[in-house]
Amino acid sequence: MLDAIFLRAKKTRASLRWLLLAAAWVSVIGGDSLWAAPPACASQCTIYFYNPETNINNYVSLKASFDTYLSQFGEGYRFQPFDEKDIFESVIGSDENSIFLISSWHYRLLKHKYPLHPMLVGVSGGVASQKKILSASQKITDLEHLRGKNIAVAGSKAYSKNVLEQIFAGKPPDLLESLRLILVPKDIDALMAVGYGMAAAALTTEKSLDDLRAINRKQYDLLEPLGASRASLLTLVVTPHQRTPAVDALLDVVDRMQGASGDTLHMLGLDGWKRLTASEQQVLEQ
Amino acid sequence: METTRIKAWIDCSTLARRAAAAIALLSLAWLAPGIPAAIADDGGKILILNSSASVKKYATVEEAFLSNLTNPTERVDMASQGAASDALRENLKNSGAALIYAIGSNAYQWAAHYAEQPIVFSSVINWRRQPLREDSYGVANELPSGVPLSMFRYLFPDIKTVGVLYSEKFNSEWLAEATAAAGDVHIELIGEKVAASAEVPEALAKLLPRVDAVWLISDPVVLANEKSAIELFRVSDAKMKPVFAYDDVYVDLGAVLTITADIPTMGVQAAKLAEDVLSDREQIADRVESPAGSHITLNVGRLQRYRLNLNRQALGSVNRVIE
Repeated sequence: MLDAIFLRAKKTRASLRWLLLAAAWVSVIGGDSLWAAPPACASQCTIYFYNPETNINNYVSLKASFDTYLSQFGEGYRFQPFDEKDIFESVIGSDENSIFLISSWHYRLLKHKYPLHPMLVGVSGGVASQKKILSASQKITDLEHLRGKNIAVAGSKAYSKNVLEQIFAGKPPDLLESLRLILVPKDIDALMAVGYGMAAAALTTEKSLDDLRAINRKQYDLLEPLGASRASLLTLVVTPHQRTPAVDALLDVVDRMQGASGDTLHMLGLDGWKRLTASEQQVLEQ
Repeated sequence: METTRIKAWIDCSTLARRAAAAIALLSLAWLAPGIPAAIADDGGKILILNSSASVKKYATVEEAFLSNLTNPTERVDMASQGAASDALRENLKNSGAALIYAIGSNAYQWAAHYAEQPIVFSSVINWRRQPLREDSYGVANELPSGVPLSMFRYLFPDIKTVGVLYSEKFNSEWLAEATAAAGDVHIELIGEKVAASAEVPEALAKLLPRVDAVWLISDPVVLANEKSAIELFRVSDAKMKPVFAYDDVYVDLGAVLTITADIPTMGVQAAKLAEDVLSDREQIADRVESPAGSHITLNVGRLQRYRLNLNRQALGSVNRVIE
């Protein structure tokens, strides 16, 4: 509903005032907000984003989409994406009025270094977790056959190696070291790189394999699953351990995205957010 | 360039919006391409011959190539050195390079003519029309036709027919291959042949009523000049038919979707190929391989003009969304 309101607001050029009224109205009639804090930012409230699970580099579009969404809540809100892990990590702990959108893999690395608390998890297709599948061309029937071969991956090198370590557990370490990673922008590229002979195997989500099966069965049939990683949670919304009113406001704003700005979430590969269950929290802290 | 994109994307009707755009620009300065180095074997020196380092896509592919190698390298910018200069030939002779990495058509043609070392190339338009030596290897500039067709199906689940204007002289083989690839994704590809650029308006008029969208391909007869390209977009839009294109330059003319090869990925592939040439050429299956990554631009704002249903779940696979 807000999508339609948003478009109309853009056309009428009365966007800010109109949208604030609309957002307030929606929250009254059906907004099931997690936090009672009003979505207002006194100074500067930032959503920091870094995702090692994709190389798509759609930051310009993502930032524009987020900032357009955030502008309806007033000035002070901003979205800051990073494509460098070290630079992203340098801002954690330096900005108390911020929240972080990060992968669960990255959270596990960070939780010992910074006082952070995961609050929400992304949902896609009704589920909040995913496995990574290693799919090879049909000529390859064993992990050993991948020695020295190109593997197409759509995540960072560090993240992809970590996932491959799970899949190659019990195999000689030099086999994993021999793999040559071809970093591609997205899962669908990785899968098609196998079909067209640029890579011997692809590391992607199950969902991407399902997508390929739906759009190009012939390409899908060229692939053979060789192994799977453990399931991991999708993108997390993480706060500093000490939550300021600004952090609560940011959480509220992010939570409201589900009804208000579907396309922004879709650009992250998500349909919505949900609160982490106790068991999910437990898994993350192990 | 990014400035223009952001300003175009955000409706700057209020001061707040302008401020958001300014923040966007400032913060994007933080972003730097972070392509991790690949596992590289020790090998010989590589001479990087760049047709023009000031061309952004050439600079990008070179940066990705360098980030994925540990070999010693030397770089030459042909635009500043001059392709015909004796100094350049002297440089090549004295470089001690075991391999040449040629970026762009000028660099490749020069290397193919003067270099004794094996060559790896990328960013060469229509490599099939270039002299291919026995020791030439490369990454093609064009995606396999099945890749954009699969993305058409992914983004637009209801699409049934896609039309292509083509010349037999340049694209008859491509059309046969693309027609088969279209069948794999349940799209009917309808080709309309043109023998001369003057025939384009009539061919387009015949094609438009039969298709859901027009796919603009790289064909010098169809795209003889800028005026004919502008006219193709104008007529297609008048008939309410979206145009998909092979290059981002057509976004400004009104393309709803462009799908191109991802440039950094080509640099990664060229680095792997260079390693293979230096270590074990016998293992190379394809001397010229297709690009492994795609870059997708979708003009959502323009798409709303047409009756084409977008799979919004697929937006996570789009590099650039324009409102």
